[in-house]
Amino acid sequence: MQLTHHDDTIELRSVTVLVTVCVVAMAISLIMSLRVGDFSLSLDQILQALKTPNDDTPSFVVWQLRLPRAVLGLMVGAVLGMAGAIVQSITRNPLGSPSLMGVTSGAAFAIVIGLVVFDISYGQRLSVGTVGGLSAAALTFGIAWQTRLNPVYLTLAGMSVALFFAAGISVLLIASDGEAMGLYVWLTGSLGDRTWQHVGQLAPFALLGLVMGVSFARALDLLMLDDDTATSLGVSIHRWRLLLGMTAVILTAATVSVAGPISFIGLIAPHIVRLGLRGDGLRGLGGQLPHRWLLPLSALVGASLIGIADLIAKVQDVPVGIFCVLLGGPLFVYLIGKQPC
Amino acid sequence: MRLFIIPFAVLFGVFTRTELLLADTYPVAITDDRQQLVTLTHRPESVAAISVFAADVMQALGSQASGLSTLNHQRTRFLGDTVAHVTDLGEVHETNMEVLTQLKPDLIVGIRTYTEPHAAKFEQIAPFLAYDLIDYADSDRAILGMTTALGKAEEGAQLNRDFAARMAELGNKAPGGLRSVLLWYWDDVPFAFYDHHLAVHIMRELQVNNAFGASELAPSLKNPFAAPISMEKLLQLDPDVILAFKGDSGPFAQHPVWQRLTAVKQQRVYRVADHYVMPHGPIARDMVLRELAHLFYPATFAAPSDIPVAARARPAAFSSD
Repeated sequence: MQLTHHDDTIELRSVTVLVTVCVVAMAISLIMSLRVGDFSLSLDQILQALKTPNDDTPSFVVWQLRLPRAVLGLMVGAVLGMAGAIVQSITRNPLGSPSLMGVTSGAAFAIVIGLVVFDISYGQRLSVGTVGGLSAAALTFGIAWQTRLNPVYLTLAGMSVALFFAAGISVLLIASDGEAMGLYVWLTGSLGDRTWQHVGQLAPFALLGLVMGVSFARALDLLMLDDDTATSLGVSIHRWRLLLGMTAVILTAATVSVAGPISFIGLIAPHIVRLGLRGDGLRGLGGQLPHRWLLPLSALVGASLIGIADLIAKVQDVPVGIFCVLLGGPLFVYLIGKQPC
Repeated sequence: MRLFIIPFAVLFGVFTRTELLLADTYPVAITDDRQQLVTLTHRPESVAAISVFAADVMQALGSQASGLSTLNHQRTRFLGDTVAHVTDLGEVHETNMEVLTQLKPDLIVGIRTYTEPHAAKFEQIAPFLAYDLIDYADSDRAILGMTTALGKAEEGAQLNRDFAARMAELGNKAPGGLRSVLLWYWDDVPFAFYDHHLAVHIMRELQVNNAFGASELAPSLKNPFAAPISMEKLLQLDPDVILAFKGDSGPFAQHPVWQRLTAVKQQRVYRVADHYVMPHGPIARDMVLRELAHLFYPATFAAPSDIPVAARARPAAFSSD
């Protein structure tokens, strides 16, 4: 009884600390991103605009330019964080993430083909990106299948597929010539000039991720066990992997369609959650962090990371994807170093 | 007395002209923007234009390029139907070498940045001139260089003098007091041109302030000549006139900022053709000058009637959704 009480205390404390840090980071990034921009707006003007929206310029700048970008950034981070956690769980691979599985590049490649060759509309990007992401995921898993999806091989296969699609994108960029400058900005992952239209486009997928996360947390916990144990517990492993894998691909493609390919958030966010809650009582089946915690907290951490990264990107006037790579690259090297060969 | 002088002057002119032609002796050596000395052993009859610039110069001299590149897979429109049947050499950055070889040109002229990776191949086919073609000085220098290669240096110099004179004339008549930007955009990423690009230079000569200004990062460099501009920045600049190359449809055109811009409210946003981003030939820059003068000051300058309809600036449409 005492032990349970002790665990609950630690559980509550570590979660509270992580949630508090994330909420504070998100709040800071949100407030600061409302202040940073080409128009010089005082805090009073921003608060006034938020309280009483009207047709004047400060109100327009806050409500139509800065707020949608900030909200979209948080949503993109949350969706990517959740997609990363799902990929890591269904592959039982700590190096798993949509970008390292080639999904992000595949989605981007398909969208670039659509834009350059077929002149697809904005609304078609999502479906085209999903097809590209699924194709890339299938290719990655197909290559790594003979090694029984060994984490390092799976990551190498994913990186090979990502490089393959990156080469394809380069070919298209060369072919598109004058279009290329715009494509380059989009391909680095950018939240610049995004509107409520983009927020509206991503919102259903953010909601889908949340619902899936809550609904299938238990299934994801069981998928973390070895296949025989999971099967004996009544889990249809392949069906769940396929369903959840497709969910992760669709979530990733949705973010690519509104913000371009943003790497590493899906990789980092779940790891930060695990690190933040390490050593406490939050251990479920197989000693893993239960997904009822991992998924929402990964979303929260992902949102905070993008919020901060985009704030820096906005100040520096560069696409947010660049800072995500700067954040994620070193951590990826660290995680690779910890993997058994 | 006048009746006597006129025939004499005509005879003198013909004689002088003949002298000039006779003076165009080959070999001719020209230094291009790679700082490479290019020697032509004979007067070129067939010229391959690896950008619209060379075709423009040829047409200004009353001739025709034998091959011409495309931009975004489209033949330029400002030269009208005269280039419709010229051999297609492929995209400006990706010349079809087989077609070019088959064409057997005597001279190849291109933009340096696009042609640099393939310069050696071009040189195997024919003497090759590469020019930067970004600012006004580039335009004058390239026209003079190419006309020299064609044995028509004096005509080239005259084209430059004529343009300078016309630009000064229109600039002096221009009322001024306007601010504008020249945008090139693809999908949801707009780029604005800096002060030193020739089209913007012309705009400034017409007493119009380029609201985007000069490059702050590298003001001494010609590249980049444009940079991404955020919609918030565009709202802050709020130019009186906006010139936009490429589409006025898609998500970018539906951005809520457009409806708040003075230029949109006053219907002074114009979609312009490709010669605004590549205005370095004598015909293109002259058309840009005269059309801009009219677009900025319609009460002062009449609309030029000699620009092919397909190449004329037209009001851009923006969705209010």
